[in-house]
Amino acid sequence: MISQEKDEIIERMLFGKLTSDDQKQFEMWMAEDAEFKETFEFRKHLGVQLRLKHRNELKQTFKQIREEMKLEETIEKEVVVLPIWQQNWFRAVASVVLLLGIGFVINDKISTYSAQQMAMQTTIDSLRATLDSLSLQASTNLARNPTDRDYLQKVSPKLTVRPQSRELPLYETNDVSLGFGKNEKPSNVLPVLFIPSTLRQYEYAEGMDTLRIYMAVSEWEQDWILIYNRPKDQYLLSNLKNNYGIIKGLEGRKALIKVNRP
Amino acid sequence: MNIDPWRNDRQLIKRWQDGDNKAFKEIFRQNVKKVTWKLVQDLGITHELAEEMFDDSMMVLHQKKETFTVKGRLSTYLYEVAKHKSIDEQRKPINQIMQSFEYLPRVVLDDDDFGNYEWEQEDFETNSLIDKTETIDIILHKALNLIDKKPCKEILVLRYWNELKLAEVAVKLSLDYGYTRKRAAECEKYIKEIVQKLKNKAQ
Repeated sequence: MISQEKDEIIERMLFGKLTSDDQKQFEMWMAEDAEFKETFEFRKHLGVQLRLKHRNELKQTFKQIREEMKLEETIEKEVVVLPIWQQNWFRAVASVVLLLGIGFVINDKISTYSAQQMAMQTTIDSLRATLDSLSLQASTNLARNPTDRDYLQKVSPKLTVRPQSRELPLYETNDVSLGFGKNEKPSNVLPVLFIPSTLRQYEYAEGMDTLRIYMAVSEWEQDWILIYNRPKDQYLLSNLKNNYGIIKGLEGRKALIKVNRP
Repeated sequence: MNIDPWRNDRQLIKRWQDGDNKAFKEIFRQNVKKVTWKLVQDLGITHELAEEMFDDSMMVLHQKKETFTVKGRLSTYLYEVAKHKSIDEQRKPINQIMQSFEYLPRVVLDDDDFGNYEWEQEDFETNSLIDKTETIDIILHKALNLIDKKPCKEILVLRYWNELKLAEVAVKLSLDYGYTRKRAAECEKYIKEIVQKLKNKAQ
């Protein structure tokens, strides 16, 4: 084991903190002391290999996180909520209700014929039983997670509407300048919901703390990103072809405006 | 106005420094897109390159784990580190780049490849660890994967990855300085023994 003084010089050498006096001492020991030289070389290589090992491990971790994020985005894109009138159970229940209504009307009209009335009553009872069963099924389905892909595929193999939502951070400020770096306005995070629509529009909802941007489904298929235009100090919602600037103010106007490409 | 604007970042760093590795992943997730796109936009580089630069800045943060303090937004810190690294790389003359490569081992084998490496007799002719740097690097790389002694692993990581002085390592591990120095020396001896065993095995 080398002396503490030699230990410390090696430490300073490895981390680039050698003084000029240290440098002279270091060179002298490297030339004259074989144990010192070997210890230094060993630690130098040990440090390089350990850093390399750590870097490789971290690279793997980063790769894994990226894959997880990509998977989450894919799942998010596949989340589907069908309008109620497009769901099979709703159609079935509606049909039964309609049949029941017709049944009651017929029942009134043929009330004088007891034999036929009894037969009709039997039909109505069986329809009621079917209705109860379907209602139970519907309520069970409603209670299930709407993102359950198996269930969604079961009820509708052809998907026509693909609502999606993403949350991006925006900063609520009392002036339109958002700043960056040290001047960045750190404050509340405002969730932005993107909801597909046939029209492109926007609105503030839920107590003016949620900006909803409606886009056509075809537009939403493109990859929209939130970018910061430093020279103009402005955030942009962009698909790299069209940009929408988001101008905000706590008291003043909140707007989504189309701007030129930065 | 929020009184502590960097509260979220501060809490994440605190959790990570207290040993919660999920917090480090969360830092990555919260900043990767924002910083990457900013790098693409400001520096006019490809998305892939921006991702690499972001990874580098996360590595710098990881290295500074023990001493890092939040003085602003983490995204700003990561962006600045990545940007400066990129500028440094662009400014560096080609001979300097080549020199930096010389410091790294020229051959690094995966664990699976290790046994298949064709050792030459001359690799083992000297007992010195100085001469055959390439061979030593390969063996060391393998040896580091075999270290399981405590606190050997912790001491090595804190010294060579986090770049802490031995005195700081002692404080971090709540050990006496003299004891830590002794353990560090034992640890080096232990690695040398593994290296020797690996050499013998390869022969």
